[in-house]
Amino acid sequence: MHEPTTFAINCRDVSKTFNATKVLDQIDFQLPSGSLGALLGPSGCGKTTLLRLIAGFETIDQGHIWLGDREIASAKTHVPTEQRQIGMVFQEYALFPHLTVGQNIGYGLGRQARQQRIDELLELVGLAGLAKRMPHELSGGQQQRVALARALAPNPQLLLLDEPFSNLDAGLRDQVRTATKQILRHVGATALFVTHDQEEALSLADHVTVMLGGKVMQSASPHELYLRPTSQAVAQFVGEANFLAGIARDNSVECGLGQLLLTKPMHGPVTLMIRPEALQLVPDPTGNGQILGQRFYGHDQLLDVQIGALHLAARTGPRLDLAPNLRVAVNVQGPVVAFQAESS
Amino acid sequence: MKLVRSLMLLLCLSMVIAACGGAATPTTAPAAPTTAAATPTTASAAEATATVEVTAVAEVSPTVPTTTTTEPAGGSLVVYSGRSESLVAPLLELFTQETGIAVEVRYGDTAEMAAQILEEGENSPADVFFGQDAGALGALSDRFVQLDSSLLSLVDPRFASSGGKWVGASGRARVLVYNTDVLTSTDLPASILDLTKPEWKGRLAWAPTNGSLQAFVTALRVSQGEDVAKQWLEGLIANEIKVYESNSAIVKAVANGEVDAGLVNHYYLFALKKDQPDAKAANHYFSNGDIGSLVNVAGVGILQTAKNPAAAQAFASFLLSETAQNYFTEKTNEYPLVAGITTNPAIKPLSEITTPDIDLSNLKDLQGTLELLQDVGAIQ
Amino acid sequence: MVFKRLQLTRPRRWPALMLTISAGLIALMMVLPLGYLLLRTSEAGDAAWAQLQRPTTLRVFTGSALLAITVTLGSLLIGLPLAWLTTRTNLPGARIWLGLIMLPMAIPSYIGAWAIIAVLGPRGLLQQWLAPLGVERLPEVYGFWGAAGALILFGYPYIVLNVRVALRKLDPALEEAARSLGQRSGQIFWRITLPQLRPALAAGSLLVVLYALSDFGAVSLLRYSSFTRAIYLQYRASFDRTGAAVLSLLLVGLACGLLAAEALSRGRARYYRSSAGVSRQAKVVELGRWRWPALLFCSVVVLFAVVLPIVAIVAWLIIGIRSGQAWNVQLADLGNSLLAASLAALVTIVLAFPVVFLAVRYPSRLTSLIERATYVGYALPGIVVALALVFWGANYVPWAYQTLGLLILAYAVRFLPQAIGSLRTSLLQINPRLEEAGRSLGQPPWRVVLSITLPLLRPGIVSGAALVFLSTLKELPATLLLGPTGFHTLATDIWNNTTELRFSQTALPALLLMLAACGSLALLLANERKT
Repeated sequence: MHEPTTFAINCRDVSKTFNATKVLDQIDFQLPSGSLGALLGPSGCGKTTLLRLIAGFETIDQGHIWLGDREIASAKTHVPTEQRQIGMVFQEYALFPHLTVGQNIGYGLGRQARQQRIDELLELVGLAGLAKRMPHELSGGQQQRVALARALAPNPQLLLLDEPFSNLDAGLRDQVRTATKQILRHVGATALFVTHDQEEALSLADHVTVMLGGKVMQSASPHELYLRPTSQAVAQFVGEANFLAGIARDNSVECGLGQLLLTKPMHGPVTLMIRPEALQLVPDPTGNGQILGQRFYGHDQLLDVQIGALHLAARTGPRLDLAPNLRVAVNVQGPVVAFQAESS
Repeated sequence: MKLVRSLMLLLCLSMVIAACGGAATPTTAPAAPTTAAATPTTASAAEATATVEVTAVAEVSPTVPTTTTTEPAGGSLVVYSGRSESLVAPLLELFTQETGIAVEVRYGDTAEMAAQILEEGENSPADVFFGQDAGALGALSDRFVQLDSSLLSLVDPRFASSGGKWVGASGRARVLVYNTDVLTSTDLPASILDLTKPEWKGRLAWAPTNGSLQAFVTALRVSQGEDVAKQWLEGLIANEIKVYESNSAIVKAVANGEVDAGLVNHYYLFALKKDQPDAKAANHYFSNGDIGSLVNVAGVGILQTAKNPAAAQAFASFLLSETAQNYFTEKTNEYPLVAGITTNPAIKPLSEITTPDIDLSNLKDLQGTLELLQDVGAIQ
Repeated sequence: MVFKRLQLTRPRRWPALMLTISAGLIALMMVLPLGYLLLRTSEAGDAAWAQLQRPTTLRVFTGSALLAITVTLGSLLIGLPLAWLTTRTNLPGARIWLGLIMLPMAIPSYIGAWAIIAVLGPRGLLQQWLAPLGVERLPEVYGFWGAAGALILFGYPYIVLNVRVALRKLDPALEEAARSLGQRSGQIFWRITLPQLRPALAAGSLLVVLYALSDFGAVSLLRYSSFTRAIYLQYRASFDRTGAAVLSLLLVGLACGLLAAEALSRGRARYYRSSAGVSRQAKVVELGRWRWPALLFCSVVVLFAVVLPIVAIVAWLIIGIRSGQAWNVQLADLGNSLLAASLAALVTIVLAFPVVFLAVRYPSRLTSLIERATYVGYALPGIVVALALVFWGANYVPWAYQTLGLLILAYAVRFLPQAIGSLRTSLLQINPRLEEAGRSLGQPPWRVVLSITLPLLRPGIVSGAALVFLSTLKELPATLLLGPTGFHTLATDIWNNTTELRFSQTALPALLLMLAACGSLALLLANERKT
């Protein structure tokens, strides 16, 4: 089966069962060349398994995986990992403890120009001069960068990263993320990383795929995914959201907040999704809402607002002093996303 | 990798040691058949040589010369020896010198070797089995060829298989070894059955797991019946007889006063005296005809599957030659079994011991003995 | 957590399939003795039943089980503290102590037991020293406690060896995490360290328990009726070999029970590092004034396990020199011993690899059965294994019978579990992600194994090889029955002289054997330092 494609990686109808449990269920997933993709989902959703199938550590039961034009896995074929030209950065880095930093990076390289390439990569990840160190003599962040350099060394067609930042402490994490993104951009690699952290996925990736319960729920740009989730489950998992019932007719919907504009025409009973920051609050003694609680974060604040029988979460800038019991006027900015209400 | 290198080094080293050591080891294979007539080492061997060639070799004369000429080094005689190397190796050298037959020998425990030959079945490489217990020889009776009557006739029929399957080469008597500080010869009983009397309470030692004691108990069962044997064993246990693992341990214990007396084979005393010449121990022989004065044998049988039967025959003859018989009595203080050989003066002559009327071939029923020993609690 | 499952129907699983086939063949080789025993027993028919029903049989069974369990507990009690003291504390002279406490592995049990009797027995050295104080009798050295004590002294090094490997590889982060949660040292040891040591303890205990079941020298000299002694007696007594076969089968049954119990205790836990990256060396524990009791403990163990036998051997050597008959050892015998032991170590490690890889990387019922099957030969007395291979060898591969090759194979059948235990402990601690990382960097599996797995397995390989080397040096029954004709080793020299009661002449080969063993121990420890 040949499927001409411009994708770096292309999964069609991929299924995988472990011990009678369907871990992956007819996955369809593509990643354009040169982009940075994220597989986002809670633990146990199958995202790591998908990564391991792409890497070739596991065999697939059904479906096809292409790397560029090359079919690397199906029920009948299985290109061994070492022939796939796929680099991998492991969650625990998996640095070879008996080899120096330089030897770790050079492991996947041929003898020719190996030293030059090692120096180049050490320079790239900002570890020049540490080639002779042993892995256990490095800090966590440095180890992560060695792992990245090692995976990049053989110029893989695709780089896979399994929860690459989860073992770093919070202060370091942001810095390493940014650095990693810069490095990947610099070498123009196509990379796919797995994370359960939606903020990480949204801030790093060009292309985010949300997986829940072994299925792909949505693949889109971070922007699209956040603003126009295609299902309530995705909306719930990616970012915070208020859900309320309404009746749609064409481009508008009638709900507890009055009549709102829809992103696309719909009919009948629907569930509306409103992001907290889409709710605009204005202090107003005659307003339709009342502040019940406040959590102040500095760069913004999260407010618990009651409007009639509805409890909504709203997010706004730090300037307004919205103490509990204060009455506010609540407005919804922009059109809202609606999902067909479940028939039950 | 350092590990691999050091392993390699060790391997090479051991090969080198094995190689140069191997070259230095005297082999039993003859350098050349012509050395067969080389000067014998001891005076007695020198005297013996002539007789041996007349008596023993002459009987197999049609085959012996042909084997020496038609059998090159590869077709040597394979001996399974249940007797130890330091004893047998010099003897085999004499054999090779006399006959020109090269010998390959494997050493082991007599009982284990008997089991090994049984397991090997048709493919046994062994030509002859030289064991130090009549029971083990008896167990292999079905695998032995019938021996030539001229060979059997050299030895008193008491010391050969009644069916003619094996023949004894040397004798070993059961004795009571005693501490000469505590006991004198007049204190000692005439019959082994007297040891169950109360005056021996707490003073005796035995080795119930040892093969020679078990052979003796078998003889007791065969000659006096199961009941007598059982009563005797129970009497000894009631007398709080002390248990040792081996004959040699008993002799040592007797010499250092741990116990007063113990049931052993006669020659262990002489082995101890090599290390401790002033050991305070002596052998007591039970009265003539008493079951306690049983004489067991070390002997030889020829395998039906022998690849070199003529050489095997020559070997059996050699063991009954004057050379070998003298060797046994001088080196191991055992009894020569061929008439006319002078017994080592250190041991009581065989002619003075009237051995009990026992067919040594019957001693292979050790299973019954083992069960009896277990039943009375001698072996737990 | 994702488990790889064996799916043998899948053609592209061929590496796993090849591994299974080769490991299966190896396991089949290792159960040859079992096949032999079944054959002998089935031929016996009613006699086999009669043997089973004898009251002695039950007594031997319970006696052996009790002995094996006591020896294992005792070895743990001595081995675990010694391993910890020499690995994780500032015990003064830790390396010297380590060398000394491993030395019993170089002493054949028959020599050690014999030395114990010479010193502690009735009218032994100790009694002679104490006699002026009016001590007439010492506590009985023969029987259960004597045999158990002797076996413990020769068994605990297996625990030390296995636990040390694990302690050195243990992730200190785990202990630090526990400390940060406010746990005291004692609690940390029981709740964090000990559970992490479980595979090593299990592997070590298995070796000890099976060693205690199969040893002959100590139980025979110290007169305890274990299976081995009963089996030997049967061979001595009944040349039809049925009773021995029945007892041996029972022994195998007992060993299987113990193996199953150990397997149940293994559970499904992971033992490789959980945290990211490569962690630091663990902190050294300061003993402070506790170092005096620690030193006393080490001294007492070394006194009984090492000094006593050496003193006894040297005493005999002196007697031998005085009577001018001590220097009768052929250099070739030393060479043969080293050659056979090195080859056995090499071959056994090679054979252990597929079995361990399969069992650790592809855990399933089949693979653990394969691994377990290899323990049969280790649980059986040497004479049974040797006779079984005599039977198979002489009747089915007569061209190989009584060659060095078959002898080495016999050693492998007897000692494979020693290599498997060590390798297994090491492999469990290697994160499979490391191998995956190697493959994702474009290296084929065999190159990954050579460049990543093997170097990381080095502590396990070295300790496994050293164990097999040491055991082979001491091995007797197989060497006697299966060695090429005229193949003498130090062990056969010792045997030869002890059967002839010339203890003074066993001293030199015994000392040489211990020196050779010390050499391999030194190699082992030197290697340990580098990793």
